[in-house]
Amino acid sequence: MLFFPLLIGGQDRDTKDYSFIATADEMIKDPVNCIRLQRLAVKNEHDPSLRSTIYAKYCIAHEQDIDDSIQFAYEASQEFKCFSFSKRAKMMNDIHDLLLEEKAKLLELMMYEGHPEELALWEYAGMEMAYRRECIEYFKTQLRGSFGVHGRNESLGWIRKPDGVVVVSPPGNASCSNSMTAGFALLGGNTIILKPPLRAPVATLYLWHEVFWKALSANGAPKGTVNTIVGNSSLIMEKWLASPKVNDVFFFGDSKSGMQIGARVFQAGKKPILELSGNDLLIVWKDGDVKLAAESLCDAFLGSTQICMVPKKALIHEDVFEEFQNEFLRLVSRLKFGLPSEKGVALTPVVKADEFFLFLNDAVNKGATLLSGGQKVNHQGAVDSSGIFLQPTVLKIDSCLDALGMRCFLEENFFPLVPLIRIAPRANTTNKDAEIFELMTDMVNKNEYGLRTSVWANSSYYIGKFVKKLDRSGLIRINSKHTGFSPYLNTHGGPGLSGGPFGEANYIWQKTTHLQSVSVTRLDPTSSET
Amino acid sequence: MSNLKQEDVFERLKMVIGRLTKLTDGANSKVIASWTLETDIFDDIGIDSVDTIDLAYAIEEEFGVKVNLSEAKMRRKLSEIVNYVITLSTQEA
Repeated sequence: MLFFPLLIGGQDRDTKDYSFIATADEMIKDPVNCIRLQRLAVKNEHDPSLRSTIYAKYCIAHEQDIDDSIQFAYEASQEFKCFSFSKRAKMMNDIHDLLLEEKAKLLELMMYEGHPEELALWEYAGMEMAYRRECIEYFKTQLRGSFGVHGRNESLGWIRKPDGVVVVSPPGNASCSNSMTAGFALLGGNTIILKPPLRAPVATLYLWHEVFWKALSANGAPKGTVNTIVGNSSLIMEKWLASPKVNDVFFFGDSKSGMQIGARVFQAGKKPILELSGNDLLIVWKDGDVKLAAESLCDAFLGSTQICMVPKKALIHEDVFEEFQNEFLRLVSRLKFGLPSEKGVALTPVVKADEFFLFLNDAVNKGATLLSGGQKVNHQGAVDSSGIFLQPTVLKIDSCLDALGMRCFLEENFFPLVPLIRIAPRANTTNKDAEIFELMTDMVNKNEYGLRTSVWANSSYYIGKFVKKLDRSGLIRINSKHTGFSPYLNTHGGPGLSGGPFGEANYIWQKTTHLQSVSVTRLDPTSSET
Repeated sequence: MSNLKQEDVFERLKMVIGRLTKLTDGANSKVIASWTLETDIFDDIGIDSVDTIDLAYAIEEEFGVKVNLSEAKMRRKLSEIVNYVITLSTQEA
């Protein structure tokens, strides 16, 4: 059985209060037995019946541990902020190297926690891409700059200073990969306290112990530069909000709770950094590559659509709607159910199944056509009213006006329900394409959420127009996968309900630092350095 | 006839959920004390469908009753769970 202590002040901390975790495969096959075994493990962790099911135990923090982590992070922040940019960049490069070394173990742990291989590989690709050397080198240049010399001897510049202690609450659905983005706070000179989710913390704990702390400690980072805490989320958040030693709160979660927490963080005099729900749109223009666009939309079903940055709905030019629909349905029919350990599986159990049926019925009652799916199934894909999976479900909506009244368009579908919306002009329009363009871009810009938007188009004229007009997302991708990753570009962030009033593309080294201008006048330029 | 009183069941149930959600320290009682009969275990406490199985086991241990999982899953508010425990206790008495 693997064991995961907390990491506090540079030391492993065994709190003697343990939780046990069963593999996702076993949990899907027999959840009642797994819970029974997890409870049994608390009483006798050496019971032989646990062996094939319970794979890890991890420590739960007490109040003193939470307090200690804040104190250690604070003390470390006073020292770490003085580390040079180059030193911090070296640490980031070492983190990247260790991430490459630990790939197999991280994937294994993510799969134990319920991420099918296809999903885990995609997550890992994003983690790896973000920390490449060229990215770190460029980001480093954005942390300070010079305006030059004013007059004879006044040097003018700017520098981004670390906020101090950054606390991070990654999401329950993909904690390990999302926590990686928080690591950029280190490049800014901050220290970090990370709280992985109570029920699935293991891959995240491993990442921060074996990758982050290993790289940092090898480079002389002070104890307490990164700390991990597992426990009750509300309690930990209250501690963070009450502590004057915590500066930034980086919170992942649904928009409703995230906006409330953001307001409380702000009221507590701290900086909220919010990474909330997405309601991403994928656009197919009349000359776009239909096959590639359909493949891209199929990523909607990664993790059964329970990922914030997958496309959740598509706006399709009427000229290619039928072709796109047929291709998409063909790809959807190939999606595989199964256990996380099985090859080629992308679908996972669905948490919000009740909401799925509310959204589906709402859409059908308002005129949408069900093209495929719509039922609960078990992990083998057989229809089962008590199944914990849902069929990948596709809706056709013939009018954008209809769509604007449907919950499945207006809100986040955090379940495998993808509406295809046919965009057509009014009957006697003089410029059909111009009107379709306006309808599409209005629908995106009226979206209350805003992580990513992707467009499939060939015309240079319309590509330019889309880039110019679409302003409601943290990232626009033209003719590349909606869920794709590119060097330098943010993986996270966006305006509206996805990131709050200060929401935008999230570069965490920038979000967790503050700009300071600097004027240095040397009164005697000839004096020697001391 | 059950001897369990609603107030007692409510207090014990809060401690059961507190242990389940790792509010284990005495000083944590501020969070537990804020829970009322109207508190929703899913929306307000953050329990999920897997936790409900754990909760069912914990209720069985605490109150010596046999919980029907599908019946238990339909109850979201603490008041509903309290009344369910009293009903089970009455049936088994």
